[in-house]
Amino acid sequence: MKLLKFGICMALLAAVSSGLQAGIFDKTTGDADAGVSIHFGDDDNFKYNEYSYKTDTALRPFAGANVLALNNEDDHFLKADFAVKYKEDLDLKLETGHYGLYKFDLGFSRMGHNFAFGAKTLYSGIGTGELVIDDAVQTDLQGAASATNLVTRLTPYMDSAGKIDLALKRDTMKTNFVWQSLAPLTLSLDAMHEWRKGTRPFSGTFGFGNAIEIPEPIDYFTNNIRFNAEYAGKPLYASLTYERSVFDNDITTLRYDNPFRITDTTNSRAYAQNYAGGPKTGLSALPPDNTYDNVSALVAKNLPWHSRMSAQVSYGVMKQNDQLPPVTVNTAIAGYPLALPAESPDAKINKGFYQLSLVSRPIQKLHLKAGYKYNQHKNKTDIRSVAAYVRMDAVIEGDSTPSYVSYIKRTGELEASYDLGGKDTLSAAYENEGAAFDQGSAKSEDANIYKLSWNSRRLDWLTGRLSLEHENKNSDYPDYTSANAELPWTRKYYAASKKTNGISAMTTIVPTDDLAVNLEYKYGKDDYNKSLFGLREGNQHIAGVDADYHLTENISLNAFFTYELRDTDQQSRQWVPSSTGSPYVPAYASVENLSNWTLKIKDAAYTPGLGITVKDLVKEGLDLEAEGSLTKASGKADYDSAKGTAGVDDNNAFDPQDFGELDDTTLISFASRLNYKLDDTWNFFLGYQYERWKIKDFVYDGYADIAVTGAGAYNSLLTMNTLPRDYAVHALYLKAAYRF
Amino acid sequence: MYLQNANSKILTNARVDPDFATIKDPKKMAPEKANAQCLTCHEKGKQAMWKASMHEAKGLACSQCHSVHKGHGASQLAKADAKDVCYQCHKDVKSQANKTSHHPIKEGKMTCASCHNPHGTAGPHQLTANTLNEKCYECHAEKRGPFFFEHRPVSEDCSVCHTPHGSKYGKLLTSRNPYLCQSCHSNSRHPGTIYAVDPGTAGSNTYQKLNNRILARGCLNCHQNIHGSNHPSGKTFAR
Repeated sequence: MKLLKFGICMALLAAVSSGLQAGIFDKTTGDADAGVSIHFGDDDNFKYNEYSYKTDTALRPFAGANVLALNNEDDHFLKADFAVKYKEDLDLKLETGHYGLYKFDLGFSRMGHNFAFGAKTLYSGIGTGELVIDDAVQTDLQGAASATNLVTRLTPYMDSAGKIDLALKRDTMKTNFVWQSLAPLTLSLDAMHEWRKGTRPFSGTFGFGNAIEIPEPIDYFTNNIRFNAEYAGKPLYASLTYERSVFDNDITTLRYDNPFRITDTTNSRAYAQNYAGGPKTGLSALPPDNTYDNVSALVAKNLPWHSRMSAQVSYGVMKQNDQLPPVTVNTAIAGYPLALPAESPDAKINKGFYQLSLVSRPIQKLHLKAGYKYNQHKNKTDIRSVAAYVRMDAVIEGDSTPSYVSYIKRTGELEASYDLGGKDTLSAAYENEGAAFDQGSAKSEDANIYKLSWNSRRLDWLTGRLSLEHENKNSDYPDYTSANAELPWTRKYYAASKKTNGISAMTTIVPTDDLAVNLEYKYGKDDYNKSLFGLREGNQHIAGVDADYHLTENISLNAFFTYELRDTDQQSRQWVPSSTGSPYVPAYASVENLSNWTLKIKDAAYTPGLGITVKDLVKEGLDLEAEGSLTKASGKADYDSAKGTAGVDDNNAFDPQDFGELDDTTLISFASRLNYKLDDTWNFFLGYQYERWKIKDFVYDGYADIAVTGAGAYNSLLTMNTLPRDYAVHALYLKAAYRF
Repeated sequence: MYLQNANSKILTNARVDPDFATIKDPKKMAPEKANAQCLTCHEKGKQAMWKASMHEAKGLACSQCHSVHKGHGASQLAKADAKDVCYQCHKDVKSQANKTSHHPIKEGKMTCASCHNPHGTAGPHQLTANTLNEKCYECHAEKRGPFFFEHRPVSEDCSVCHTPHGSKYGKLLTSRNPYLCQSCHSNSRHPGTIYAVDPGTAGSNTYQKLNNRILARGCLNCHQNIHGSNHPSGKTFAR
């Protein structure tokens, strides 16, 4: 079937092309190519195929074409672009119109996203809202006498478990119509229909001692429509836009069997590290249907003294009113079925956005800018308490009341640039960002941001830019109370006070016509100066160099190197309410405590690369291109904790071991291509590509689908084996291209 | 062409040929002067906000990204691959886009213009939406909600947890679970627990390393609906 579709595309292109030449269009140009690639090695690795489809063949044909047909007399045109890879991606676009009058285009694209191949699962019903395990399996596992016995019983089921691919496909159809004959008035209509279908890794839980990796079914439709009217007369510009987005999910709940229960029971507080007890089935909510409507208007006007003012007003509404799932599906819960707070949430958020800016160049050397933005997010959902909720379908808890954050953010900015002698520009900017929250982590935030930059074109062979930035943000962030069960001095970093300093430098050196060198360095530091717990500091360095050199008229070289270093510092405390380490117990009420621990994470990555282009290699018309790069990333988690006495004054009375391999990856890429130009119409390509990816992480050490303790007991997690694995792939390809 | 005075009186019958000195070379002009030429026609649609844009304020010239005579594609870009135009200056983004977890830019499924308008917009970072979240929701509409139980930082800003250009951690996260979650949550019991190995305790190595708060989806093994839940028992996003 796929071959048939491939053939139809090629035939369609040929038919359109020849039909165009015979019809109303008197000039047709374009190019078409076709080829085949062959892959060796781990070409069926999901990480290698992350954004395409898995293919079951090493041989992968592909084709593409771009055609432009014109009628020189009346300016009608037709464009067709398509690219297809056998069993993989498809991109198709047809565009037609009359220059200056109207334009219409229609496009289709298909993209895959692979998450895991050969994932193991006990479930059937993959891709639906009902994941079922055989009753006999549940009965057998419920009879396990101990956590060790559970592993003994579970192992043969997992060994013979079915294997599935977790992947989804995104099909998008877009259309656009533009009417320009009323210039300076232009009307346009855009529409998009997108269908996403497949599965991706998800999880379910029946208690702290029973988490399971499961496949989430994806069956999404998104429909967007956008209408725009634009008036582009000089000096006035105006635009009015209405857009609507509708998201529809065909599967909004997911029911999944508990592998370890065939009958419903409860699990006291669900806190025990215990697989036993709990429901036979769980039910989770999946993303609900929702809509978004937005209207915006933009007006801009050129003013005297080379000035331009613009103002934008935008108002939008986000809505969601899907039926709420039941409070629990566990029939053993007292009072089952429990009352819902409402049939549906009738959730609604109003979004308001207003923006005003004025730019001016009153004299040639001076550039001024002033701007103001107002951004409002107002959650209008009625608050409905759930009289009694059920934790993980396992145990009944008290009431729960949702809270919804609303906020207003205002930004004012002033910027001035002065041209120093036509070769240097000095700029200074000040920005103030203020925010007020209802039900936010902080009550309000206020930030002052100062920027200074210098651009230089003083020498013909040397240009550069240096920028400095300083931000001082203060938050009105009240301490937490025992009701929050948080440490009182914790600050969530996105809402916390902080001081930020940054420097950025970039220069381009062109000492000769054959050599260009770019150098770049950036440094940023976030100091959460009032955060005693939570994220306290973050630093980032990025440095890079990039050089292009024309060795001869026919040979060009390119080399680059980037280095990135990032580190963060956070602090927390291991504590239990009313007990050791609790900040609400007078004995442990100070900031310093033996149960505190700190974590410093350090990530580094470097990428060197080299490329060469050779024209007329040994023969005129024969060109060579080759480039390779190596990307190496490493990470480390350093723990530190003072050591007290277990059971007395310290909840973590040990010297914690650091994790030295934190997503350490190595990616080697090499691509080369020989291009032979036979004549003005025919080109032939022979290519070779190599890609190798390796990962080292502490979780791979002793990994098993069934997590077990050192003593062989079940360790609270059953996975599908979705960890990415190393791969190395060689690919050869042959392509012919025809220009007409 | 004849030489004329201000009153259009021809001063000489000698024909004056234009020479190279009268031809304007945008690459040798100050950016704002060169750009003014383009803006006489292209100050509408996607270019309507150019004068208020970050790129204009930084002195970027149209000719640094576009080529009128040898341009590629409908946008007349200076390079055949659109992202290479942006990577000329944004090398840190180029480096990030090649990391393990990334949007499909290098695979050719997206470009920088999928999210940004380099000519300027009213939104932050020249995004083609009023806020970052609204931009993300265009492709990830399932995260839009509003949800019955919302996760506060999700409603406010996706970049609290995600970095859109690329990350060495999965799902474009700025850090991995549980560390990311623990940078905000220091509640009693398991959120504040140190998930590190005690080298002095037998079995701790396996127990802690393969703990369900570290392996697979980390905290999300239980808190599955971390972007928000429409379940009446979804208070902790575990349903």
